[in-house]
Amino acid sequence: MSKTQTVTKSEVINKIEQRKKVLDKVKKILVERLRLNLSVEEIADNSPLFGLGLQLDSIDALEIVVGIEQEFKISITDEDMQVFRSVNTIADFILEKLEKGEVKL
Amino acid sequence: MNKTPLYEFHLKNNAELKLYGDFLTASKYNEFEQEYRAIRKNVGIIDMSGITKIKISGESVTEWLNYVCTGNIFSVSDGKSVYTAVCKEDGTIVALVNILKDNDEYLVLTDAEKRVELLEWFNKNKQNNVQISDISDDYGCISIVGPKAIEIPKMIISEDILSLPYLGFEHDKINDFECILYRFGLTGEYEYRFLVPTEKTLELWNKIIDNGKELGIVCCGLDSLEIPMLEMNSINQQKDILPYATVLQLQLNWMVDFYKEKFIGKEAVLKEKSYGPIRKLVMFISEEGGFKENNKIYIEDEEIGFVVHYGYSPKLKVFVGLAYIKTEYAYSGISLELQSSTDSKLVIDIVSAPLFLTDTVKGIKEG
Repeated sequence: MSKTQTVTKSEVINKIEQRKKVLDKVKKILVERLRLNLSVEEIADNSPLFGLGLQLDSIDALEIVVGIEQEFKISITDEDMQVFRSVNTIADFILEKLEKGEVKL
Repeated sequence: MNKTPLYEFHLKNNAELKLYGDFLTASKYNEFEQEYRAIRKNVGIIDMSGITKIKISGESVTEWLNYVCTGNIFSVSDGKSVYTAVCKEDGTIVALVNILKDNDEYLVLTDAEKRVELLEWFNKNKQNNVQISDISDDYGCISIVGPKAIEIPKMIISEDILSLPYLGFEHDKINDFECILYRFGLTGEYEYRFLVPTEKTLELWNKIIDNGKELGIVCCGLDSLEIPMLEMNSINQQKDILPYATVLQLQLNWMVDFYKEKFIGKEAVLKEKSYGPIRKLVMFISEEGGFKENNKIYIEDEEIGFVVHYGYSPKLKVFVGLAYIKTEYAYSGISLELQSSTDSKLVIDIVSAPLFLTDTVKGIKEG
């Protein structure tokens, strides 16, 4: 079925601004917690976290979880771990919680 | 034209054949969904003999490779590989390459289609104390892909294969011949590739099929990798890299060591980083088809991008695509309008990649 809703620029720009804030926070957590030799600007939004990409391991994953929990004051369950695929998928997870009012930026 | 060492086998088994660069091999064996299911749920075997294989050796080999590639070659240890980019001075891409470090020499692997261009580029930038040999025709390459792919090398080599990490490789002996077994892959599933002497390729292919019967191994064409790669946002060198595209536009920042002293294209990459790329490659999904490559993407009346590559994901039951979008709008979580082939406008969703966790990754996480 065709999606026919109108896309407005202002709505899109608002969403982008909110995502930028979350992406920036997530990237800072990665850089600081994992002591990556990278600046926030050098990490692409779709960078994979494991395998290729940033090539993190399971210990790094725990560090990121703790960092996200502390920064956004949420708890992350085992089921939530599937969102740790890329910087962008973590941002999706935070933004969803923001929409539900479970997180504040 | 080069023919795969499995040419007769493919013909006998009614595979569709296609030229990849100058290399004729099987593009398709079965219906697309059957091959897709093998890769996502079970195990498929693919003839990748056409991949370009270049041996680089010599006194200054590591320094030289570190200069011609964007990644850090000094950080690669023996028995490991790195997936990185070879760029021109203006930051555009010659090829994406997988480089295996084998003691004092390296094996550079890339798509069949990149053979001439990459060799020309390497030879143009060659230094005196580096030797470059094209050994593409000396070896066949067989790939097994899927969540059950790990079972095959366990059966035909050893249980020890479990300790071979992603991007790792080892020399093995199978029957009476030596081969290199390496782990790579861009589908998110287990993938093991065997580099085997050309004349032994058919023998190994048959051995894998015999051993894989109990797993239900499926012969797949090379094109079967396209959609699983697309779902993972893995770059398809032939479709996604336009002549002016750069690593930053492709969101391949992780392939670049921004801090090493020099590499070809470094100045251009750093300049683009400081100003920000003008466009980025993003992933989108659409419930509806009816569009194709180069169809334009809009926000209100402003044209902001175009489709470069798309396909249908059987797993998600949606169309998945990649599009170049002006950087200011290249963000997940928004909807944009795509001009369809019939001139109507579809609403597409820009989404985060990779699209899902594969069965292989779920299996690893569940231990």
